[in-house]
Amino acid sequence: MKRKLHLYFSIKSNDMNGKALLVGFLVCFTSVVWSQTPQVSPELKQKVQVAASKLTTTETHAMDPVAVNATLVWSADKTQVAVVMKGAIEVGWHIYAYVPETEPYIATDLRLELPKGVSALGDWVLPTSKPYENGIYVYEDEVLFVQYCTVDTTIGNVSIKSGLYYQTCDIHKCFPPTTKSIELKLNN
Amino acid sequence: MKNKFIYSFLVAICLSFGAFAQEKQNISVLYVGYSADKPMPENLEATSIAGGMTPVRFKAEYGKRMPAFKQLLERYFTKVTLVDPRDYNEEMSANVDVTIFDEAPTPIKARVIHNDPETGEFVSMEAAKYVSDEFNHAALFIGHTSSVIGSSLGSKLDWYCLCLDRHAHHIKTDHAIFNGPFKTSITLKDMETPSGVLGAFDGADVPKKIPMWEVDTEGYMDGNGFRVGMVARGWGFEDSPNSEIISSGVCTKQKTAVALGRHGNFFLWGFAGSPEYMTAEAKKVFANAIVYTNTHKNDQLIVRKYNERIATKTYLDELAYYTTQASYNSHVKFYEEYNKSNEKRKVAVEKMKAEGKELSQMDKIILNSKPQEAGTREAYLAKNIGRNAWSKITGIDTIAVRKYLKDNRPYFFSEPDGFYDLVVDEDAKSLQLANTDITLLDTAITLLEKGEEVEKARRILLRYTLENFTSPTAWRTWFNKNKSKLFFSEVGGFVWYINDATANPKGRPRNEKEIASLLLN
Repeated sequence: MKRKLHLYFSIKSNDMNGKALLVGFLVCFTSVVWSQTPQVSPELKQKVQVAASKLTTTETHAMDPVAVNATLVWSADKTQVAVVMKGAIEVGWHIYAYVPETEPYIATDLRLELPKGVSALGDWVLPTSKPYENGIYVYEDEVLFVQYCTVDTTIGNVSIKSGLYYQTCDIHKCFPPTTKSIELKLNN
Repeated sequence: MKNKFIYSFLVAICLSFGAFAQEKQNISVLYVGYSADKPMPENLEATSIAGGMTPVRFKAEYGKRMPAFKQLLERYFTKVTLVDPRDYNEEMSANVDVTIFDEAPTPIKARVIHNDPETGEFVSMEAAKYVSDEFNHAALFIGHTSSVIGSSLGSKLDWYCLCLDRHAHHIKTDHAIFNGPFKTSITLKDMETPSGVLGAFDGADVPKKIPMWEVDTEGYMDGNGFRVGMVARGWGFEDSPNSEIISSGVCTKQKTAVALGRHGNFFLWGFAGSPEYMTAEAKKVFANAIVYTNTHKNDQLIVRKYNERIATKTYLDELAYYTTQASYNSHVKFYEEYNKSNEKRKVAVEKMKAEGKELSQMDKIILNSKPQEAGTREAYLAKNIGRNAWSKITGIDTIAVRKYLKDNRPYFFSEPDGFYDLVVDEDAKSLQLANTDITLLDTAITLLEKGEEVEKARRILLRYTLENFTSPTAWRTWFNKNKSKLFFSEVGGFVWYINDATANPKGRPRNEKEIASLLLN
C-alpha cells in the first residue's frame, strides 16, 4: 500500500504546494494504516520460539503418521496471542504444502476458528517446505505453524479452535485427507 | 444372380448376429449414486463422498452422474434400478444380479484403532464399515468406493492410490470384458510411460512409450478438479483363486497397480468418469464388465485381505533394488531435478516480489522452500534398509543385504498386522522348508505325531493355518483331506487356505503374540 502511494506521489506532485499537501496526506494515511495493522511484538515472537521448542505431540506410527498439538502464547500486555501449532510427521511420510491442480493429492489447509474479540494478525507463518515431484511441495519431519492474533481486552472465557486438514503419504500408501483440531481456552 | 442372393443372405445373417450381440442382457442392475432429488452432502472434503473431486467441480456435477448411468445401463440391461446411497440397504443388492457402487452408502460403523492397553502403542486397525460383514453380493465398484466399502470385507480391491487418471495400460486385451457380449474394438495408442512406472524398482525394463487405451475423455490431470480414480495393489492380488488383474492405468504408482480387476464377485472399475465422460469403447467394456461380474456372482471371497499394507515377498525385490547404485543414482537425480525446477521458480517469484507484484499462496510457499537433500548413499541405505529389523544382522552392507534377502527368501513372512515388515521364520528355516511349500505343514504334523520339537511344530501350524486342532491325529486328518485343495496366500496373512469359500474357519491369521498365548495352553 505504501509503495503504491509513493508512486502516486512521484508522478503527480509537480509543484511545491501539491507536494506539501500530498506529504500531509501521506503522513496521515500511513499513521491510520499503522494504527489499523498493529505489529507483532518482538517479545511475543521470542516467547513463541521458546513455547514451540517445548511443545510436544503424541507418538506417531504407521497407522497415524501425523500428530498435531497446539498451544497459546500471550504477549506481556495481553493484547496479542499467538496460536502455535506443531505437526510431527513420521519418518518417510510427508504432508503437502502445495499441490498443482493436475496432481491428485490434497494440500494442507490450516483451520482457525476465532471467537468474537479475537482477530488474525496477518497470515499464518508457515514452515519451510521442500520441492517434490511434478511441482508438488511437501512438509516432512516436524512443522510449526504460527498465527498471531490481536485480542480485545473485553473477551470472556472463550476458545480458539485450531486445526490441520491434511493428507499424508509415504512411498506405499496415501491416507484419505483428515482434520485434526485442538480447542484452546483463552483465559485472558 | 445366385451369388448376389447368397451374398445378401450372408450379410443378413451377419447383421442379425451383430444385432443379437447388441441386445440387452437379461441382468438386473442396481446403481448406487447421488440423486439430484436429494440435498448435496455437506462434507465435500471427505474422499468417501467426493472421490477426490474438487468441491467446486462436485457442486457443478452434482446429480448428473445418475442420469448418465441410467441412460447407459438401460441401453444394455433389461432391469435397472437407481438409488441414492443414503437410501441404500443391503437387501436391495440381494434382490438384483449386480450392484454398481458409484458412491458409498452411509457408514454403519466408524474406524476403530486398537492400541496396546499397557504401552499405548498401535496394534491394529478396524476399517470403517459401510456394509455388514455378511455382504457377499456381486458388485462393481467405481473408483474410491472399492476400498471405502470393501476394506472392512477384506477385499483385495484396496486403497493403493487415489490417483488414477483416464488411460489404461498393461491391458489383458484378450480378457472377456474386451470381447463381449457387447462388441467393440480397443484402440491402443503409444503414449509416454508414466514416471511412476519408470521410476519404480520394477520399471527398468519398461519402454518410454507404451500402448494405452483411452477410457475417459477427461481426467484429474487436466487440472479441472475432475473426480480421481482408484488403483489397488497388484502384488499378491492373484495369489488366490477367483482373483485377476485385467489392467493397470495411468497413475503415480508402478506398473502393477490395478485399475481393472476382480476379487471373487467384486469388480474394480477404477476409472472415475461417469458415462458422460467415457469413450464409446469404454461404455461397452463397462457394460461387459457388469456382465462378467454377473457370471461370477457366486464366487465368494476365499482369501480376505484385512491389512492392505501387508508386504509380500515381492517387497524383497524392492528392498534389494534399494541396495543398488542405480537406485541411489535415480534418487539423487530426482532430487536434483526437484531442486533445479524449484530454483527456477524461486528466481521468478523473487523477481515478482521485487517488482511489487502480489504473491499467491504458492509463490509464498516457493519463496519459503528449501532444497531437498539427497544425502549420502549410506544415509539412503540407512533410510530404506535400516528400518527393517533384520538390518541388525546385515547392517547396510549392500552385498550382505542382498545375500540375506536371497538366502532367506523362502522363510520370510509377515505378521497379519505388519506394515511392510517381513521377518525370517526361524522355525521354517531350521527345517530348510519354504513357508510356501506345503511340505512344511506335512513335516510339522509329522513332528507332532512323533512327539519331536512339538512346540516348534505347533507354532508353524498355528502361524500358517487358521486351524487349531488339539491332537496330531486331527491335524493329520485335516491335512490329508484338504492337501490337494490347499493354496498359500501372502496378502491373506501368509496362510494356507482351502480352495473353498465355505471350508475355512472364520477366524483371522494369528499374530505371534496370539500364537505364544495358545502355546501356553
